[in-house]
Amino acid sequence: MKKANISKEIDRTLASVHGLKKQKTPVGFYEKLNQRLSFVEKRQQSWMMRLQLGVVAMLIMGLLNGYFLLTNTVPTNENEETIDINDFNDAYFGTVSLIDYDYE
Amino acid sequence: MAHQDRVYNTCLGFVKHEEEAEDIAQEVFIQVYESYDTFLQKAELSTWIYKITVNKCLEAIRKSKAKRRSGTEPNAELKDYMLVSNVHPGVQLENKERASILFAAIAKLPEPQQVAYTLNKIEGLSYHEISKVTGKSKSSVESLLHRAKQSLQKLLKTYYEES
Repeated sequence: MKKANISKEIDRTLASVHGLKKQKTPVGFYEKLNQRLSFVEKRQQSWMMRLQLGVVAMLIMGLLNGYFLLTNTVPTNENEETIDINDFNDAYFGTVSLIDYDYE
Repeated sequence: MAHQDRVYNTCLGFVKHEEEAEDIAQEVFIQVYESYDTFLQKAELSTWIYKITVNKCLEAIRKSKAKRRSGTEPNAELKDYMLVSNVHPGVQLENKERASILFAAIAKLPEPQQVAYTLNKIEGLSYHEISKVTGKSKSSVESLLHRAKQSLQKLLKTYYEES
């Protein structure tokens, strides 16, 4: 293509989108949009439902934890058997200690 | 013109494919519905909708390009052809071929130039309106359009010299 023709063709190409005819939205646009919107709403609702269920489950777990902490006493080693052994130790070895031992 | 027609035409200006434009236009309205609470009344509703539309279109173009690069798109070559050389349905019959070449050249422009050029030449928005939609100053919109025109002239020159 000749130089002069090229510059004319460039101008024509750049002008080819002038006066574009505006298009109308296709038929059924609203129906499709409504369907998609109702799907989005349902998705949001189910997400909220899951969130609420999660919060409720956490509350129940917290309450159960609290209940067990308050009702169960802390287990100790001080049962009858250990008390007997302690008494025996006190009776026979209670006064003997290497720390207090008089070496002289 | 009603909002839905404006949105649809803007989408067409960017993707040039009717079904894809309709799909993006619907996504725009879903986004409008979902984030209407966050919409500040300071801005104009139409400007806000235009912003969402442009972002959605760019997102769709980017996704399509990324899919083509990664090769996950089954009809990658076909989509590529559609995105680049599909012609806006509003183009007059005698201009179809030239418009196809022009749209392919527009697709090669950097994103900001592409947006400014499409909104101005295809959508017919004024510099002031483009500056509101893109959040850029009027002078930078002018500069973007000037550079876009220069780049297009170069691209078209190369194309016609080679053909």
